[in-house]
Amino acid sequence: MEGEAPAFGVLYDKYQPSIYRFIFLKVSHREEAEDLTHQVFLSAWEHMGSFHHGDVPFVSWLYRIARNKVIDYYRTHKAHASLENVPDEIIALDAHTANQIDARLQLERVYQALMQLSDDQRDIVIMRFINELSYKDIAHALGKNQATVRVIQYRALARLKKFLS
Amino acid sequence: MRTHTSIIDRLHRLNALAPTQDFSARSRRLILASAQAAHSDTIPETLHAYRFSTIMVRTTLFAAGMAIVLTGLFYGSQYFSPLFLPGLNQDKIVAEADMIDNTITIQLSQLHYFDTTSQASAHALKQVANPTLSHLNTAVILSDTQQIQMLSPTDTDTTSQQIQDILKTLQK
Repeated sequence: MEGEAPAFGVLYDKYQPSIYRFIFLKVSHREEAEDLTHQVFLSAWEHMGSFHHGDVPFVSWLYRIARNKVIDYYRTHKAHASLENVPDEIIALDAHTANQIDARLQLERVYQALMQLSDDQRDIVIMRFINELSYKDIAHALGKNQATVRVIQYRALARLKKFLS
Repeated sequence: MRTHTSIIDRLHRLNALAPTQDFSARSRRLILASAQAAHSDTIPETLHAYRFSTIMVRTTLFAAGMAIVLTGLFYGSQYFSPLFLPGLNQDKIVAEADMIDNTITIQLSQLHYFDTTSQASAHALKQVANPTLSHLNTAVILSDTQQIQMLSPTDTDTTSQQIQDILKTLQK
């Protein structure tokens, strides 16, 4: 156990930003996203004994925990991410670009389009195009086969195109 | 397809979203600290159990030792006492002591009786021997006799005379 803590620290450093991003884009609230991210890694650490190498990739296992945490969050809070109010964190992302207003508007529209997707579509888009997970890892995280993931991804992009056009 | 690429590029810009460094450091520290706390929690539990069992064993041994020492002292004091006589039967001694006690009680009651009796006798003797006692004084008795005779001398004389007279008459 003593040797496992530093090893888990390495995994935390590697996967924590992407898990935070995934959760933030689902709850649209920084503090809530931070709390949930913390809970995900705490839960992962506490249940490391139940994780079996080879069955599911570690990153997919983390995403499964994150999805369950978000489901529990909405079950208790009853609130959903607002389509209209874009979080400040999104707006501040392109603050350093030359054309700030245009960049901000583009991000706001992407965010709002993302919020229009179904849960599965949004999860796949975030995992695949924002966090750059492989189809295999996404399939394991969602408990679906890779072909199904590709189909859902195709439909999600089509829907985004419709919103953004 | 070009549109998809454009959308994917825009989506990819959201990759810059990141938690604050303060949160990351704090969360990481808390999780790893909880890991160490969970590890150290198991040690005190075991340690407490070990300490408790050690204390219990020591307490039991001490109590047993004290019991042995006290018992030894009790019987030893009897055995090494100058009054210790191994031939004596404890029950017989107690019975004999009871008997002596009863005898003493009887004698005490007799003494009390004799004392009471002697006091009464002495009192009676004292009264008998005392000449000043009014009811036994001869002078008083004599005076009482005379007084009785003097109470109604005429009546007595009269009665006697009458009786004599009657007798005389009858004799005639």
